[in-house]
Amino acid sequence: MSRTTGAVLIGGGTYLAAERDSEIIRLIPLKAHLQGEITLARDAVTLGAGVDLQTMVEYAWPEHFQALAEAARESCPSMNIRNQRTLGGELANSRFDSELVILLHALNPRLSVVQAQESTEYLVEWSGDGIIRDVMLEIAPEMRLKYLRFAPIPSALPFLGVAGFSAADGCRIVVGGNVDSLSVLEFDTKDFGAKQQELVLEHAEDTLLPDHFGGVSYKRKLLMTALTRLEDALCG
Amino acid sequence: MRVAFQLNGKPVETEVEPGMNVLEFLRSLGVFSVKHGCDHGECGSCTVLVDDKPQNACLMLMGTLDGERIETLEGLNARRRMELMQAAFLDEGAIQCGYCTPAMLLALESLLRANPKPDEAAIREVFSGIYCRCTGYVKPMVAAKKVALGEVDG
Amino acid sequence: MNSSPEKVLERVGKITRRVDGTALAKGKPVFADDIHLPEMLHLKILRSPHAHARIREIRTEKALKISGVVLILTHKDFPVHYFTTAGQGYPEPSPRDIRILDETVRYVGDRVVVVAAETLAAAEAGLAAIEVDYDILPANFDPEKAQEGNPVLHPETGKIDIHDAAHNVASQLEASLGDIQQGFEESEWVFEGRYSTPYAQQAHIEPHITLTWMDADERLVIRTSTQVPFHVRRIVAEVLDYPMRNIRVIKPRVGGAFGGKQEILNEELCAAVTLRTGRPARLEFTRAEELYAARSRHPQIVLFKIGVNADYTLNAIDMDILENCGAYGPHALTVMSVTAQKALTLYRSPHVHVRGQAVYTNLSVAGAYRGYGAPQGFFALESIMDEIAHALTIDPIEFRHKNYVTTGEDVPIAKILGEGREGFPVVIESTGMRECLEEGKKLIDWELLRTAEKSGPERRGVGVACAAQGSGIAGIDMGAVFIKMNEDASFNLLLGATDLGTGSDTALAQIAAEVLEVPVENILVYSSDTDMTPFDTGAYASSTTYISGGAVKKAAEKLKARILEQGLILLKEESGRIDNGLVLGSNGGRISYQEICTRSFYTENQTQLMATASHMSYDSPPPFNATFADVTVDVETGLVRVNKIVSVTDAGQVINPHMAAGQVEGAIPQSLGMALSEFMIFDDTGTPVNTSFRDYHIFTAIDMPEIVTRFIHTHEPTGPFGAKAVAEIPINGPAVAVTNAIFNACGVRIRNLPVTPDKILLKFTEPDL
Repeated sequence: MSRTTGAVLIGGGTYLAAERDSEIIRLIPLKAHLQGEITLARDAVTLGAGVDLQTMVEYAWPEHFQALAEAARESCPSMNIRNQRTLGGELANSRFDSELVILLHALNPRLSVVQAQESTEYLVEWSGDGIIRDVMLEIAPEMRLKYLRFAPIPSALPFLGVAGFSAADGCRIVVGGNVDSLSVLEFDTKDFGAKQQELVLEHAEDTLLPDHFGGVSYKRKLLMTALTRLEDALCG
Repeated sequence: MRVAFQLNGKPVETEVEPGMNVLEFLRSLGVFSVKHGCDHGECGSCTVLVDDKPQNACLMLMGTLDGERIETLEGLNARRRMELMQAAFLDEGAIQCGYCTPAMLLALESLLRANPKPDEAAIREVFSGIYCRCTGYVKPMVAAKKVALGEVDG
Repeated sequence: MNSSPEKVLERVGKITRRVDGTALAKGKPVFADDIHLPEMLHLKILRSPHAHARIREIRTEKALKISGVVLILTHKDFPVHYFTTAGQGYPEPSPRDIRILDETVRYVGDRVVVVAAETLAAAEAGLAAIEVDYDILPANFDPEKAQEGNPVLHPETGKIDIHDAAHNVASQLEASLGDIQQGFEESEWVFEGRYSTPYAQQAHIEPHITLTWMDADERLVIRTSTQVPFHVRRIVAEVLDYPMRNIRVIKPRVGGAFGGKQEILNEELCAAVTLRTGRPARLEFTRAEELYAARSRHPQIVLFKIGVNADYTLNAIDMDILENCGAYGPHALTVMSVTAQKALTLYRSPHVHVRGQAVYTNLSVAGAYRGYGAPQGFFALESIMDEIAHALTIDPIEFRHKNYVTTGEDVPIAKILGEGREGFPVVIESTGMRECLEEGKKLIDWELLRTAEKSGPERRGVGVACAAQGSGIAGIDMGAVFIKMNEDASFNLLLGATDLGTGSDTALAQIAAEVLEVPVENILVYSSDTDMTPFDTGAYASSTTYISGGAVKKAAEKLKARILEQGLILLKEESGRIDNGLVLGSNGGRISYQEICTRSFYTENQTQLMATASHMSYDSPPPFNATFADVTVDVETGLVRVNKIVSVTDAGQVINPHMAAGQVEGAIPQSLGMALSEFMIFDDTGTPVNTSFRDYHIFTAIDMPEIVTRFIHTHEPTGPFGAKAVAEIPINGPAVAVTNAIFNACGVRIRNLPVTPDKILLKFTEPDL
């Protein structure tokens, strides 16, 4: 939504309110129009785009998805704001240092997107146009989901975040944090070994941005450590 | 635009600038327990309860308020449980400058509505959105635990 | 002042609710901004986008046409007058190097224009419509290059008390004791180290906020969140050339200050608008302004060279301080003096030399911030002490036991240094340093953690730091009080002292109640208001309990003597005593306070029972503290987690146990933030990068380690009921206790704060770098 042209729809109203610099003539709060529930079926979990982050923290997730609760908590360390921010807003803003965005890219759920007409798209391929109506997470056989964050203190944004999803037929690794774009890599093996790690490193190292926590060479070393730890979590 | 909502139990219907934030609006009404601290929602000094949940008034635009139920400390001061919480905060030295105190009390009130016997982790979590630069959260945690354990002498 | 130690204290030292607590707990409108004034104008400041520039032209026409914009003030609206924004003793030791609005801007954030408008939105629109042409000047951001004079920040004639403007030296200090060269020659070992500390922000949650208006008598009222109402009155009168008698400054409840509100940052602009328009005016800082355009901790580079004797005692200390003031020099000299004075008070050494220079750079302006230079000095001192202990393979605690000053010792260097000017003889009358260390050692489990196996990716370690501070500024700080009695045995206690959230009103009420032998509820405190309360230099330098408390004690004692005298007259007895709110005559007569006061008002020997007193001190007894940190370092990522902080303090007689502990508990996360998460970063144009709490990470509830706070009871004979200060001392130790613990955990020595993961990882993997 945030990337939509025109001034009508702006994703993540909570972010908008903080800006205070736009003259708003008419306001249509999407939250009221979006479904705010999590529905659990046998092979999938569907989240309305209007689900707020605190609801995601408190939800009794099936074991495979437990990491989502943590990611929702960590991507917004203030409970006050978690009560306000929605899943849809979080995805629409698509901050690279949002653990929820990083983790969801690893899961690559199907989105129902409303534009001129409704369509279904995978998150990783989504252009950012349209309004997300809901997010469907499929429960895959043998799935594992892991997220690792690196920040100076728990309430600070991660300067590096890595997520991994693995299932019987493959795995998907996402690198975010202070980066100029998310790196999403898919492998057709569930083993996230040295070769795969090398490929992720190769792909992601150019996205790492230097900051006051360290330069690119530090970030690269940290990423190597993070990927090793991800291997332990996914394959151990 | 026109919005109708409930403030501290009383219906309010008013014409508003949709882009005005709720913090400015409440303070213009003289609801001064809701404080300004950071402009961006991080500090939580402007906490209000929206349908029982703590939220930051500075991140809410008036145009989104229609149908909501808003509570501030002004509406809760006379309630028994709030008095007990205030007594605990006073007795345990949990108030220093007091600027974030209304926000902490509202957050705690919201927690107790959902969970009358919260543990330490739940209390810490509900304080997560409220910055305090005076207390290190040590005595507010002590006071809140005392409330949760029903150990306050009213 | 010396109270009889045998008397059992009944109010002092007891857990007592805050006297202002109920109003705060109920969210009553007690803060500066909690009022509505009719016809009020809202102010906004246009700030410089350039680190150094000369203003060629300011075009305000478009802005003035915006609906609601009422007044725009620029440097042309004010005569050239240099002052300092520092609210401190007068004449100020800080250089007079700033104008209310200037035609040269010297850092990104410097004030350019102020807009007053009917609404905040109109003021913001006005700001956006102002056009300013700048001639960009070269800028310098490196304090180590400042003295090259490229550029010179303050070339203007008429600026006063800049030590060496051509070399950008705002202030300088130098002091010697013994013969430093001889001292090193005699020493068995000599160690050197270079340490640095960064900018750090106060981050009080209530921003700077001022409201001004003209009252019915056409006097200017300034309602402001300040630590220094009397300095506000003096400085506003001076810079606006307005009669002081026509200014009234009211300090309501303050939502945190920490030194940041020991500064005149918005009062004079608000007052200028009110005087020009006759209308109320309001100026509140945004959080961004707080984070780059208010006042921060001075970054310092401190070099230590220390000579140690064969018996592990110190023989020579040479200290060199380079302080970065930023673009202006408020508190430049005095902060640096405190860095030196507090660090050099802690350990005895026959040979001492210290040199300090405070220099200008084109960065945010530093000022007073809790600890006032001491945290920088103790970061360096306690780092090198740890390094020496390690090099000499002596337990860091044992090493300190051999060196800190003890009761009865004098500290000659402290006298030589003073604070801003030569001080007064310092003799240590009370110290609990040994007990602080021993108690903390137990609470942190020192032996076990220190010697535990350090292996694997996560390594746990423990560190210690000692610290001293002062209690007020010797020979300078003065506090005054007025106390009067009412018919119901209540007392109005009118204080110049400024409670900025610390609870000082309560502590002072306890002191009055103790003397007068009445419950604390009988003491009705009002502070502070320049029309209503007597003078006080203000709440800074850990002065309130010690200095203002001394004044309260004196005034209460005077009043108590008057009550006894009047009581005996009413009883028609020659002698007697006071006991628990009663005057007891030697011949058996008894009369209550209530009756004494009522009869004194209406029926017999009519008089208002009241007293005033002021207090200053040539002593500034140091409180002492030992802080311990238990940390875990992930040596594969460089990240540090603080598990636990133990802080043990000798603050003399604690007046209010909860509030004293609260000072310690609040200081710890501020210091941990400076060490680990609070970064004021500037890009290569000097533009601040972290201008919101999203990027400037203060510790929240979920970041806090376990905190353990203890007090060692000592009795300071010069303090009220034996009290010393507590507000600042606990902020000196945590950061360096953490870096010492990091060293213990993984062998990495961090000499430059902040601790960042890249530094740890680099030094861990390549220790020789």
